[in-house]
Amino acid sequence: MTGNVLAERAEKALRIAEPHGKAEAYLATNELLSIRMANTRVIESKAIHDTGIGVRVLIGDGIGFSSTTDLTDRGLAKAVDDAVTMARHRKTGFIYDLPHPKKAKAAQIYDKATAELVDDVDSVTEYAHGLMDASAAASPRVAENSGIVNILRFNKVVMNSNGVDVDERGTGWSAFLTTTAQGNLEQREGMVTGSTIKVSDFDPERMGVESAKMAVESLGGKKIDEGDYELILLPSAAQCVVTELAGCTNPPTQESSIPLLRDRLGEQIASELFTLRMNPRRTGFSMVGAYDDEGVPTEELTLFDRGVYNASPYDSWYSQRYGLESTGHGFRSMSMLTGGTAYHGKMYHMEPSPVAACLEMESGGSSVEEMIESTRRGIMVGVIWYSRIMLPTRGDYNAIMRMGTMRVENGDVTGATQKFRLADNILSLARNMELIGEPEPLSHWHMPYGSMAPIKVSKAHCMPYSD
Amino acid sequence: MFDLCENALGHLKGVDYADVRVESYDNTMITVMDGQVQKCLRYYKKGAAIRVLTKGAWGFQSTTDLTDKGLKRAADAAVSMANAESIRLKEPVEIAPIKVCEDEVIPYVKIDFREMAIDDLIGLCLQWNKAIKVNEGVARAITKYGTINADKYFASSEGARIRFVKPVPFLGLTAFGKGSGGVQSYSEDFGGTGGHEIFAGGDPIPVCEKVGLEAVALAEARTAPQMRDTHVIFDPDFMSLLTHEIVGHPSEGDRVAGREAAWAGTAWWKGMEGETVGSEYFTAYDDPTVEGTYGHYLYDDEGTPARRKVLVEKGVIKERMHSRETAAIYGVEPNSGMRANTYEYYPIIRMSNSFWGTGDWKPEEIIEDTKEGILLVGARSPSIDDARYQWAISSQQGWLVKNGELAERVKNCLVTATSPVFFKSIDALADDTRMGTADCGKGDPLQLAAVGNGGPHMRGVATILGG
Repeated sequence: MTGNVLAERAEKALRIAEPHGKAEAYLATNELLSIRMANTRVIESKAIHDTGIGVRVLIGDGIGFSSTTDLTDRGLAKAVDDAVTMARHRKTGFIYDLPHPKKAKAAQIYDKATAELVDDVDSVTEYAHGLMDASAAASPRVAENSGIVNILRFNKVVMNSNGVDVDERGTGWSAFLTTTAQGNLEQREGMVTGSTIKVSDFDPERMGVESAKMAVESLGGKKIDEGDYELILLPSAAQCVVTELAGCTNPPTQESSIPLLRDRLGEQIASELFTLRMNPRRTGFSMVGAYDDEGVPTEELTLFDRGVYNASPYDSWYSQRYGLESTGHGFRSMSMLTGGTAYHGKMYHMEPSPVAACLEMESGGSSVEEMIESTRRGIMVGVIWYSRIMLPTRGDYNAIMRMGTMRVENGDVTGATQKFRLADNILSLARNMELIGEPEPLSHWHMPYGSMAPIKVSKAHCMPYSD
Repeated sequence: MFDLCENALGHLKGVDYADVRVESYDNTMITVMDGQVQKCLRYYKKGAAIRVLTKGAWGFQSTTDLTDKGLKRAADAAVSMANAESIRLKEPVEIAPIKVCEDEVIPYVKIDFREMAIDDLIGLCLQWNKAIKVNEGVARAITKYGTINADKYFASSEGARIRFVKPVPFLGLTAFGKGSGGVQSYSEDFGGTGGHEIFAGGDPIPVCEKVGLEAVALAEARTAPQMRDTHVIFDPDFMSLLTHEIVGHPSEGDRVAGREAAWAGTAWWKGMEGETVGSEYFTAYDDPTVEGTYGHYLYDDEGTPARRKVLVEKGVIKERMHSRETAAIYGVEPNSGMRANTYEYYPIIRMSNSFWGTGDWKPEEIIEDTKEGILLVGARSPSIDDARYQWAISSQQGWLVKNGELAERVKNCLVTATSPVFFKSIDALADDTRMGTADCGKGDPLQLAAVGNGGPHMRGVATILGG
């Protein structure tokens, strides 16, 4: 469905809704091609083509939202009717207004070559095989490869009764490769990820070789002793910790699940080396854009400025509720509910909500080599798995140090370790950031995409698996 | 909607196998926080999923364009995808035969939410929310209510024609209690296939009050001490998450076959079918046929008739969850493990209702029999090793057990163990099995499946972190 058709349907929805009150129409069409690999072969070639509309209607101090894939006049009328019904019963206690039009600076989020790839399953399948072939060729110890290549093309249209009229097209690719290496008695894994707007940034050869290298170098790992270690988190591992911390700045998270940073704006939370921004204009795969998902121009937002909790992301509703301005970070997240939708793309099923995504770490100027040289008794980690804040009011944080776990002693990498558990606290880890390196773009399975740098933490509690 | 299925199948002449799912969802979500409706939305979606197997390779396309042109385009795309991979295939995909069925499944609903007006549903949510606020110690009360009304049609080139209606209500109740020990949260959830009778027989008010009281009491509790290799007694709510993570996931045939190695992980007990991995108290099942449960169905998304799977029996590994494809690989019969979240997605192997077998102890007998240990009540968050070998799960609260009595309520409990060691340590199992709920994430793009999980009170040995 083209932008013109989406715009025509959006206008139609507004015309149906406006007799009831102010309204907003958000239409999105997503085309996602995914080539999934396992056991060194393509196991799933699959594509999603999904188009729908989300309608918000304001009646007095009420807001209603409804979405549908039925874009016929009848379908739009039903969606509006549902939203009106919801608005009559959802009283917010203040008079909310939809965003007003504001011109955004252009953002380069569309790449023609990437867009064309969505229809070119042969080429994308070649990318997948290219990843696996490069990994297999890198070492005879490579036993298996698994992963995915995703290519996305989307078009979103936002219109509202205040005159917002946004039509944006975007593209993106994301890929990761997990390599399993076979040792004498064990298997270990390596993984490399990547994600940007332009597929010309995608280098299957480099990713395949690096994934194999991590897997092979991890072989022969020794069990660690329980204790406190200096920890070097390479970018993918750093992303897990940083994403958990960034999530704590999110107003809905503070209100209903993890109150760790509630009422702590302006406090020194992390090391002075740590500056973290949201940059939806550049980083973030399906959350990129010159405008957010309610038509507000996106801006860079510094969540942590030299370790100080500097700002939270806001959409128009949360910001007005707190008497603030939207920061242009109202995104429609995956519907994390059975029967919902959670693929990479623009989610029309949900209302906008502030999301701490599109994360970019500022360079700390250190290299990984410097981190290693400065370490006396430490461990370097390539990939973290199952990263969680386990106790939401205290911040106890646990994760499995899954791949690329290397012992670092007296300034040298001295060999691999077995997998182990990091059992510490998210705020302690943030305070103990000692060195930060150069950021690079990363993807992840279901985390927001980002540009992440390696981090050295001066002290982190690590536990081996017990026998 | 069988006509749409037939139409799509009509565009797939000449393929070796094809199945088409046409599904509609009419879902509602209401969130109330402190007496105010925070979220109130409805989403309707309808689309088709077309999966083909041709020349030994799979292709899949989903679409919301249900016109003849749209279905033909999707069918052609699915065939193109299969063709693109087939030229590189080393081993063609084979699928095991199943009984081809024609059926219509409409579950029994006692208190039907589909017949209730939205203002009545909001009224109930406000009432339940108010009931959580038992006293001034409840700093925040959150009620999350949702309904899924799925109508699914499945047709295959083998002749299967199955309709499955699945009405699902769910209810999450959370209180944040504030006391001398700071802020603590406590939650209880309900979910199942049917109507509001799933919420404690239709009257969850006593549970709402319990949630408020527990949160307030927990906020006065001291932190659990660190306890190495101690007796742990898990309540059925904790067992729900434990069984899900360390029994259900590693019993998925695709994990065992290495097909989830890219990210979700593998299974430490791969290749150990028939071996003893736990004590005689370790028996576990996966069973979609249990009526009223969250993971209930009578046919999976390949049309395979559902049945109970005995995953582990008296400590011996018996059976995995399979698709038609993994069943062919393992030389067993398909056992109805294949599901897709909605039409957008390619089906993958999922748990349905995975639960621990029942013992003959009474819960109070287990406590009376424990000289020193801890009773863990409810679960918060898991952090699990990718092979499900090692795990940590935080509980909502704990009770120190001394000389056969519950001595003191404690907060911030985080338990960890290694699966094979823990399974062998289980020495008491009660007769009070209860089924909980989970929205389980798996696959790429991410899919969320409604699963039921549970078990009775159980005692084993593990370590309590923290202090």
